[in-house]
Amino acid sequence: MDKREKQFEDFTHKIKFDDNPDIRHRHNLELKLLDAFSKQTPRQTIWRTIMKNNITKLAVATAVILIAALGIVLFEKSATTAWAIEQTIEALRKFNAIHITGIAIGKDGSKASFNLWARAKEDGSASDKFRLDLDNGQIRWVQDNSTYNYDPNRNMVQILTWEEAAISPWIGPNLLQVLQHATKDWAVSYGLDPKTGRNRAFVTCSHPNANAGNPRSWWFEFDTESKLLVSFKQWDNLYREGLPAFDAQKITYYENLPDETFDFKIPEGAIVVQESKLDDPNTGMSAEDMTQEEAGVKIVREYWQAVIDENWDLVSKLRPIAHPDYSTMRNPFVEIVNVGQPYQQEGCSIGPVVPVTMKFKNGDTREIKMVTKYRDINGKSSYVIMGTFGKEPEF
Amino acid sequence: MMMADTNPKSDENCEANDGQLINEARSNPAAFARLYRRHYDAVFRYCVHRLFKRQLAEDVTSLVFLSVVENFHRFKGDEQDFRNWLYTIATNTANANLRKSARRNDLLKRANEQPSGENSADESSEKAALLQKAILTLRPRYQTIITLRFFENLRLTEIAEVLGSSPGTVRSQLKRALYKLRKKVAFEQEV
Repeated sequence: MDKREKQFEDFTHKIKFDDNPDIRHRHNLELKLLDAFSKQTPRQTIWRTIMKNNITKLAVATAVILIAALGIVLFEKSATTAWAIEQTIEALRKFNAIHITGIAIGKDGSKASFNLWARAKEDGSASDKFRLDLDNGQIRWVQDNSTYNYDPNRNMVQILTWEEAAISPWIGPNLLQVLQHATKDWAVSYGLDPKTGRNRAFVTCSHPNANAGNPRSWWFEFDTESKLLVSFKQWDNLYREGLPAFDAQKITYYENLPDETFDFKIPEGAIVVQESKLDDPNTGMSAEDMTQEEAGVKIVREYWQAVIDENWDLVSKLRPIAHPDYSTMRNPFVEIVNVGQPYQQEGCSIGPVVPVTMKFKNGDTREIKMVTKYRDINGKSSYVIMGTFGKEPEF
Repeated sequence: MMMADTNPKSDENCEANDGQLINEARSNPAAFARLYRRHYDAVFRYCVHRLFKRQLAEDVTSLVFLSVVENFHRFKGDEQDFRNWLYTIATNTANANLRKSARRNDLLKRANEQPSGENSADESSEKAALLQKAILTLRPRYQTIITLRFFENLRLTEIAEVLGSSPGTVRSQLKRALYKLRKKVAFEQEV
């Protein structure tokens, strides 16, 4: 400490401030904070929890696995005489509920055992009841068109006011017809189940664009007596290489399952957060008269410029959920170095990813992959930023 | 002058080590409350020293901790980092408050209205008024450095951490801030 500093320090020591905290304010604020803690809005937490936690990623993958089987081109395949998928299609007609046990495997090799219960809608098109229990205690269920995620580690329930988990099409005639007609290299072979000695039919197939432009391949096991699909595996590549991403080891069919099967009582004291801002037409950016590529680049550029300009209202508007509070960063962003072109990122089925290179105040730069999403609300097209693919910049 | 307690271990609630408490506080409201109680006084005092007004300091303190609740899940680090993070948020919140020109003008006006000289109730009040008036004329960054250095007793490395800067930069900015202050307040004569 030099002389001038010492002099100033001595000067300040002679000043008496009225800076004793008021106990009442401290107490009242504590109550407010605890209330805020319990009602914490999920704009930061939902996306983070879903994307950060590997097990939850697996849950997401599990939830969308069958949805991805749609949207592919139909073409004819012949059936075999020993077993025909038409027989399975017919056999499945009487079942409206299923229980699947299996393992979901992340890209990093992490595994999660799961139990999945689902019940079909009356028209048999998709599930209307859905519950997924992971072996780490996380639970995802769908109720009244909302999706609930329970994380026991945080004792937190997240409510998404849209249906994010479903089996669609239902594991029934529709799904199998699509698979039979749409997949490439449909091949049937026969064998025995070593455990039960029962005859089995095995089907392998693949499609190069089954999942938002990404390939998938499958292995199905059918019981030739009951004609039912009893297990299947799914790979995120064309040739069933490596461990499957989804391994449904046992499928049990029910004519129906009672509502209680899907019920989950939110534990006492759990933090409940709700998110519905994505449905708000006032959020996001209009994409009228723009190509999706143009809109993706524009919204990412506008978003980061808003961060630099500390225009937090615009930040919230463009990224209605999961936007971090950048105002608390000690090393803030100061410049957009480059915005790349949107592309489909493997492992991200939400929407196009737009890479952006940002410069920090200390001169460092970092590429951040922004996940964008196209919306059509009331006939108006718009784009919204859903979050980042990978880690958020940290404090 | 009452000095802020910047040593969290001196708090009455220090039975859990820093890392444990931070981790517990992420999901346990009771642990979060303990963490809050451990740091409330330091944040409040810092706000008083930045804003010179109790009511305003309480408001800003509230905003700081509400921001902590919202962003706590993103915080990485130990309790030392947590304390620096609190100062960062408090600094930004106080600066945002001061940037509202009306507020700043109001503070300056009030500072100018403080009694001085022979009408002063006591010498300390007079010095406080002089200092307030002088500090409020500085750039917010200089105000922050002065407050953190002399009122919160942070080291230059800690101030640099709070401001996302280097200790060398903070050192030179501190010198410039003192140079400017010296023109407003004759603190050398006090020694």
